[in-house]
Amino acid sequence: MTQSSDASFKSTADLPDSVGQPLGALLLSLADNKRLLGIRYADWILGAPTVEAGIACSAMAQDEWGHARIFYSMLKDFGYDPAALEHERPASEYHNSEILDADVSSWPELLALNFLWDTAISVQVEMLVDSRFEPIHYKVRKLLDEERFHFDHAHGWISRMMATEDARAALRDALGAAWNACLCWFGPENDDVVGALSDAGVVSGGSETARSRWLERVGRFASELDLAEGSEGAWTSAREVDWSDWSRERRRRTEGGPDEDSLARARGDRNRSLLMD
Amino acid sequence: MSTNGSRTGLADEQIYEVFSRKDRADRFEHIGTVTAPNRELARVYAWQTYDEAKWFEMTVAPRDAFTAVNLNQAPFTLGGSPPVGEGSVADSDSPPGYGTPTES
Repeated sequence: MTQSSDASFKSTADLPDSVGQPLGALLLSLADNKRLLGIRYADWILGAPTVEAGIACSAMAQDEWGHARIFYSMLKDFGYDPAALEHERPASEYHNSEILDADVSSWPELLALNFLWDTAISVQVEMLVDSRFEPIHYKVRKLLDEERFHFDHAHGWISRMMATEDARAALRDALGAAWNACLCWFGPENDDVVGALSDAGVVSGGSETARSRWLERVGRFASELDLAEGSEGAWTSAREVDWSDWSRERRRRTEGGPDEDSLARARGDRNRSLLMD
Repeated sequence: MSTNGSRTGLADEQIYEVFSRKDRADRFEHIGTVTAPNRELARVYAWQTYDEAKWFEMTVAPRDAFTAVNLNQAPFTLGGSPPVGEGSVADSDSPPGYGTPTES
């Protein structure tokens, strides 16, 4: 909390527009990313290398969908219609990362999402744990308990695959392809959404802080794959961040959105007739 | 069925035994197994596979860590075998608990 002397926000009604608007934008980004990440995990329930890994993908998919549901339902108090958000938007209005737009074709690519992207989202969520916006505390703590296992899953698999040269090369390609999108997601240094939230004590730091925390988590393996450099506790990206074509509003590359199949699944199109609420 | 690589054909995998209890006052129960290449993944797999209860505590150990006491076979295998000293198996060279689990 950056402004510990200030009172906390007990409900959304207490939030000034200058805070409510960016917080809504951040929650929508978290919700869409978790919804699509859940779909990517679900794609591997039957195709994972072992039965146990398939079960893990199933559990992680369910976790992500549950988390997305929590964030979508919170958005009701931010002036959004959760049912419309979940079931009626076109692809161009989704705020998920471009690396989740289509299914991934290999296990190393899924591990890149598991290790880099899932961790990026969790780092941003962790920065809400001590938020001045109190209603979010309980929700994010429970969510982060589940996310520990997602990180350990990715970490355990990557440790194992680092041992063989072929697997290592596949990881280098897969993590390399996801790297820039993850760095960008935290926002540029002067990001207005994260900046406003950080100034108001709603998130515990700005985009540079979030990016550094993410690099702390992924830096060791990333450095072994030439993506990061430095040393423990002080990792930096070995590649310059490429901001071209990045949309501040959608927190992703400007063009595109979930592909047709992903969109239908994200919205639950086939289940529409069963919708009760 | 051998202890290593039993279900996946991957040489670095081994079976871990999973124990859990619902309450601090409960004893641990053996609830099943997972096959994993390392302890980190064994933890994750166990937690995500045996999620039927809100466990107070769960722990895993590689099957190889267990030593048979009275039966002349590795623990946690299905089907019985004679106690040590009462069957022909006991006369074999391998010490109890370190053999390949019997086919069931």
